[in-house]
Amino acid sequence: MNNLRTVCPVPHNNSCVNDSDIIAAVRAGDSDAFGALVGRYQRTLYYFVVGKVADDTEAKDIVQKSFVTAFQSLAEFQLGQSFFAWLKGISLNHCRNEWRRHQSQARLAGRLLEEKRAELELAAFDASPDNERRLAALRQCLEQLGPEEQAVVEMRFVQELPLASIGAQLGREAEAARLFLYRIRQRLADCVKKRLSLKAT
Amino acid sequence: MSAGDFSRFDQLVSRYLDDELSPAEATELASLLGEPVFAARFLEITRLNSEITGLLAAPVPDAAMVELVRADIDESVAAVEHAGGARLRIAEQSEPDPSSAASVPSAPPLTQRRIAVSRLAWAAMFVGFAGLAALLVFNRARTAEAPVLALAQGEVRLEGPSGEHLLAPGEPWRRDTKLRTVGPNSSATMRFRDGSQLGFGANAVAFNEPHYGARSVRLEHGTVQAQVKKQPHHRPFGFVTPEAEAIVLGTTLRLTVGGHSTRLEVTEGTVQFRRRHDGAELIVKAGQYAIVAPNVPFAPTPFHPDPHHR
Repeated sequence: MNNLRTVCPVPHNNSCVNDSDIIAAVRAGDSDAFGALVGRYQRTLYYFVVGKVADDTEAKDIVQKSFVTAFQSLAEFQLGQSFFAWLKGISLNHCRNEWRRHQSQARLAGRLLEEKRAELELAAFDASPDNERRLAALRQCLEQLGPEEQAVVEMRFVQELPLASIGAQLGREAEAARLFLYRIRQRLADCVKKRLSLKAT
Repeated sequence: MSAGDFSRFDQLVSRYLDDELSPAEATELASLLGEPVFAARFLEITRLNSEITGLLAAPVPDAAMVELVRADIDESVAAVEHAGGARLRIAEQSEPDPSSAASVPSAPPLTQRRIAVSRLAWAAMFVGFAGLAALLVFNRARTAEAPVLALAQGEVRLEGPSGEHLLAPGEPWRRDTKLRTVGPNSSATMRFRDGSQLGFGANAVAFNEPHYGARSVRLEHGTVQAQVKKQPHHRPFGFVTPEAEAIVLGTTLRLTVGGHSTRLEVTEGTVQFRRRHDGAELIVKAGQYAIVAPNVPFAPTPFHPDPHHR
């Protein structure tokens, strides 16, 4: 069974090279070849990590750290196994460590709620399913929102506007904008749940 | 639990997600999380929030991630090599031969002392070089934040504490220095590391004045056309003119200063525009302009993006 991926073309190289060839090249001393693996998997890994940590910046950091760890531990990688599956395992460890760090920092700073959140995340961590399906469902649910709701999501999550500015654009008070935004979140949560249960049956 | 409890819980979570929770409310929410039903709901909604942010976030370009990883790897390799290790050791290392170890004669005390002195000297040298390297890295990091001149037409001059000189393509526009495009056909395009770009028109005068890590440009005169990549929420890109301030998180805009007025045109995204003399603020959206000038209403107004219609 060969579960190694072959992609054509590999960046900066027009020939077809599979993961094991790249890994062999890196092990032989061509560390630059590792860049091809980063380019090949970084986005897929990002969408694997998103939602498992607090925000997108942290998710991007985890992706970066995971590749560095993979490079440093490449001697332990067994040719024949899936590189991406191995990489996902590394990133999960980094996510877990991130929550542990978060928990201990929150404890030291006396931030009870943050400590509690990290505790809940860590307890539920192993039960978290692969979020590929969740993200696909969320994407569809976002597309189903009405124009005004989509505009609010865009203002809050993409432009990161303060609630007062969002409210000003909606012709509402900041507090009303916050409630409107929360109702959108609730609708999205229900929509994702519904879509996942529909797919499961 | 009553409907009131659920309603209060939703209210607190909503405030938490928008970073508006007071310490007392945080404690109240933490205690509610002792209930499994609330804990599950909290986990679900906070994760969903992270997922929305992640889905809508601009992805890191592949080439940029390759560079970031490469830089980290180079750094870790340098550290390992300094510590006497080697990178990516794949070949099996031969075990030290106990018999050969036993056959090495032990050094006499005087030689041991010499070795210790020599080690101390090496350590001192290492500390010196490390300090020098840290200084170089620090300076590099400072200049790396400065935009560089990507394109120039006509005369582009830079004025700083060491005098004035012509700015050449690729040269950085250092903080607290004055940039001038001289002559009616002059222009300068400055590019930041993240791809954000500022295009100064003819006879523009501007200062690069970063403020607490946020990019900020003070435009004294002329026009700047800006394409600003998404900036961190806590570090928006700022433009300051004698009359106004524009706060940008990621957008395309054009700012024109002259004759005691500042005109802002937004092509993409949204800009928070502030009149300096009274602090009045408004949001200027894509397809709108606003002017700060005496006797001109301060309000967003639609414009036609085609220059022939202006």
